Amino acid sequence: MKKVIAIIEDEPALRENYSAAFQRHGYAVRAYGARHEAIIACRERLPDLAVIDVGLKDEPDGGFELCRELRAMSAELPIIFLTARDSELDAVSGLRLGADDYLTKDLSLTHLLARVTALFRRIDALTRPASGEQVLRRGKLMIDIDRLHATWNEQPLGLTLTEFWIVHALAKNPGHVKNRQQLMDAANVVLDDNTITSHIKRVRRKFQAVDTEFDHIQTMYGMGYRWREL
Amino acid sequence: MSIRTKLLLLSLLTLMLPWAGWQYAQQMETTLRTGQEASVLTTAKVLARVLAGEAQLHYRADTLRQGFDAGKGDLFAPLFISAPLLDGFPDEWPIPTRPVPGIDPPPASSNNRPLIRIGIHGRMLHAYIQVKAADLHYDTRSAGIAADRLVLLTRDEDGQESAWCISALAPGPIIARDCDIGAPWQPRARTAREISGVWRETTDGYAVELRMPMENIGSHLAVYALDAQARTIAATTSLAKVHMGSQALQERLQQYAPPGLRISVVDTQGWLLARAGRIEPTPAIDRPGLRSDDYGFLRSIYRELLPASARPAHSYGLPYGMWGEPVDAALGGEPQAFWFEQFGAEPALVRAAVPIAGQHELLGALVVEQPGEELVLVREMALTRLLNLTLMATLFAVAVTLAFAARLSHRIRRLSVAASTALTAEGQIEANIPETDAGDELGALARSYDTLLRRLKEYTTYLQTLGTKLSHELRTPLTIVSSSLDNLASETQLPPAAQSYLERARAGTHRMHGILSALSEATRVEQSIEHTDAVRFDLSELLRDITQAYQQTLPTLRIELQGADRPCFIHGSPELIAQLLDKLMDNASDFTPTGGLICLALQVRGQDCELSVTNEGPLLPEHLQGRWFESLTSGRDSTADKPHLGLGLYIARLIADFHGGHLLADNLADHSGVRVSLTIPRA
Repeated sequence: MKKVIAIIEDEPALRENYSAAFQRHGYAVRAYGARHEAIIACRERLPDLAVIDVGLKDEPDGGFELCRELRAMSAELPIIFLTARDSELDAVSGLRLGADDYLTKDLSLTHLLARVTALFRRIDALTRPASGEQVLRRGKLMIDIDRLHATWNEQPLGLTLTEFWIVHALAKNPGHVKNRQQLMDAANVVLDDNTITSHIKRVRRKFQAVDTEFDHIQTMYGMGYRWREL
Repeated sequence: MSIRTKLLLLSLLTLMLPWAGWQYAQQMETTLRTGQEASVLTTAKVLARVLAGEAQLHYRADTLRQGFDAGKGDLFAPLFISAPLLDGFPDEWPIPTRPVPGIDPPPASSNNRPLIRIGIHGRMLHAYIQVKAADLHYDTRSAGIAADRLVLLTRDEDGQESAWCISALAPGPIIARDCDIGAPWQPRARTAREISGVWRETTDGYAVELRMPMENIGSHLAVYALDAQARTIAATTSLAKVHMGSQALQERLQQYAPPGLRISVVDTQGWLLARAGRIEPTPAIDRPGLRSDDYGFLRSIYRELLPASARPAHSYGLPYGMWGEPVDAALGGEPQAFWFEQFGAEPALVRAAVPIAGQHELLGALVVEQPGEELVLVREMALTRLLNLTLMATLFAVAVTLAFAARLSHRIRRLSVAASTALTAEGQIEANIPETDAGDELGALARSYDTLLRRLKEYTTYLQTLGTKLSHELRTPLTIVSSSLDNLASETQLPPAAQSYLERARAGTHRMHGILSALSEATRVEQSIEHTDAVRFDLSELLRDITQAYQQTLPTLRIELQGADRPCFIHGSPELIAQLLDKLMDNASDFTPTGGLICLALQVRGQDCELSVTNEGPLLPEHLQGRWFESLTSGRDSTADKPHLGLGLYIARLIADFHGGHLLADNLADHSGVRVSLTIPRA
C-alpha cells in the first residue's frame, strides 16, 4: 500500500511540483490549499506524513495551528514544516509544536525526498525490534542509523532528522573537525551559518537535558565543530 | 558674517533719522534766516530811500564828500553817545575795533606829530591831544606869552581861518585865547570862554582834553604845539579835513529806527556818519519751552558737531566806521544781508547793508542790524531735542534689533544643531526638531525638516527591512522555479544540450538562494542576538583558534596574530564574536593583495580590550567616511562574484553593540592599509 503524504501549501504551482515529485517516488499525495479543507480531510483519514507550509493564504500562522490540530489527532504522525519563513523564532515554534523537521523552501526536491524517505524509515524501524547491526556507539552515545534514533545514557534524545544527521556526522569521526558545509551536506539541508549554529545549540541543549555535564560537541571557531572524546 | 552682525549693521541705518532731522532743521533754519534777511533788507532799502532824499543831512559841508585821506592827516570825529569827562585822560576815547586808517597811533619815529582824537557829542566837538615835550613852562598870564602852548587853526567852508591858543597856568583848567594866524601865533587878549578843557602832565609831555562848539570848527583843522620860545615842537602835517558824524542824521535815524533794530549810515569811505537804535544780547530768553539754559551741555556738543551756517563775526571798526562785508558790497552798489555769529558783546545778528543813492552820486550806505539770537536758540533747541529723541530711538532700535537677532540666530542654531544631529552615529534617524510649533517661517522650516526627517526615517526603516521582505517574497517563486527544475530533471530523459541548460538554471537558482539568504542575514543575526545568552569566555583562546582556521582557509595571505598570549576574558557570545571576525576578515581578505599581510591583534587597555584587524591594501573610500558600519553601505564594485549588499560591517556592528563595544575603521598613518578595531569592555 502506498504511503499517503498530505501536502498543505497555498501556492498551487509549488503544490503541484511537490505532488508530482512525491508521486514519482511512489507516494500517494493529497494536496490542500487551505487549513480547513486539510483538517476535514485528515479527520476522515489520517495521512502517513504531512508537509505543511506555515503561512496559509489568509492565515499567516495557519500552518502552526494545523500542526497543533494534527498532533492532537495523532502523536505519531510525522510532520514536516516546509516554509519560506527562515526566522529562528518560527523554527523554534514549529519544532516545539511537535513537528519532526523544519525546512526552508530553498531545499531541493531531492533533499526533501531523502528526508521523507528517512522519516518513513525511522517510523518503520521503530516498529521493528532493534537489529543492532547499524549502531554507532561513542561512550554514552548510541546512534541507531537504521532507526535514525539516538540515545545518551540509554535515554532518547528526541533529535529531529537534521539534528540526528549532524550528531551522526560529528560522532562518526571523533576529533575530526566538520565544517559547516560538511554538516549541511550530511544533514541534506542548505542552511546558512547562523542556522547551523542554532542547530548545534539546540543539539547541545537536548544532550544537556539528559546530562547537564555534557560537553562533547566542541566549537572550533572559524572552522566548525568536532566530537570530543573525553 | 552672522545674521546678528548683519541685523546690527542694518539697524545702524536708523542713524538716518537724526541725520534727516538735522537736514530738516538746517533747511528750516535757512528758510527762517532768508526770511529775516529779506525783511531786514527791505527795511534797509526803505530807509535808504528816505535818507537819499535828505542828502544835506549827511555832510556838514559838501567838501567833506570827497575822500578821506589818512596820508594828509584827515581826521574823523565819531558821534559820542555820552559826553566824555574832561580830565585829560584818554580812557574814554574809544579804540577802534579794527585797525582804522588815520586813527592809529602815529609811528614812534615821527615824534613831531601830536596824537589827536576828536569826537562829537551834541553841538560840541571834543578833542584829546597828546604832545611829547621835554620840559614844561606854564603860562604866567604876562603880556608876552612864554609858556608851552597848543595852537588850533581852523578853516571853514568859506576859507575863513581862525586860531586859538591853549595854555595853562598849571596842570588843570586850560586858558583858551584867540590868536594871530601865522607864527609866532601871538595870543590876543580875548579869552575864548566857549573853549574849556584840562591840561595834564604826562611822563614825556602833556595831554590836553578840551571841548569847543561845533561852529568854531570849519572843515579843516591843524594843531601846533609850541614851546616857551615859540618854537614848534610838534605839528599836524597841515590843515587837514575834519570829517564827522552827522548829529542831524542821527536824530533823523532815531525817528525812523524801529525797536530792536540798529541803523547805521556810513559814508562812501565807510566812516560812520550816524547810528541809532540798540541791540543788546538778551541775557536769558525765558519762555515756556524755550529756556536758553536747557540742555546746555548737549547743545554745546551738537553745536560743535553740527556747525551753523552763519559767518564768523569780524570786527568792523566801530565807532569810527564800518568796513568789510556786507558794507563794502553796499558801497559798491549791491544790497547784501548776512548772518553773523555772536561776537564779544554783540549777539548773533543779521546785518543788511544797502547803498544810499543820491540824485547824482552815492551818498553812502545804510546798515540795518537785527539780533537773531532767538532764532539761533530755537534752532539749537529744536536740534537738540530732535537729536536726543532720534538718538534714543536709534539706541532703542539697535537694542531691539540685537535682541531679535540674538533670538533669531539662537533659534536657527538650535534648528541646525538638531538637523545635524538627527542622524545618529549608529545610522538611525532620531528626529527631534525644536520649534515645530512656532508660527513663523522658522517654524515652517522646522516643520519641513521634521517631515523630511520622518519621511527619511520611514524610508530608512523600509530600506532596512526591504532585504528581509524581499527575500521572503522571492523565496516562494524561486522555490517554484527550482522545484520545477528538479521535476524536469527527474521526470524526463533530457538531451545532453538541455541537460547543460538545466544545470545552468539550477546554478542560477542556487545563487539566487544565496543572495536571498544574504539579504536577510542581518535580520537573522538580530534574531539570534535576541536569543543569545552572554557567557564569560577567553578572547585570546578564540583568537588563537580562529587565526589558525583563517591561515588554513586563506593560504594565499599572511595572517599573523599579536598579543593573544595572555588570557583576556569578556562577556558575550563566542559564536557571535567569531561571526564578527568572519565579517572583518571577509572584508580584509578581499582587499588584501595576494601575499599581503593581515594582522589580528589584541590589546588590553584599562577596562577595555581592543581587538583589531589590520590589512595591507587600498584605503577606505573617502565618500563613505563615517558610514562604514551602516546598513546597505558598500564601497565595493558590484562586479565581484559574491553579492555585496553592504550588510557585512552592519552585522559586525550589531554584534559589537550587543557586546557593549564599538567599531572604528581608519586608514593606517602611513597609508599602507586599513585598520578596523573593536573595543569591548573586559569581564
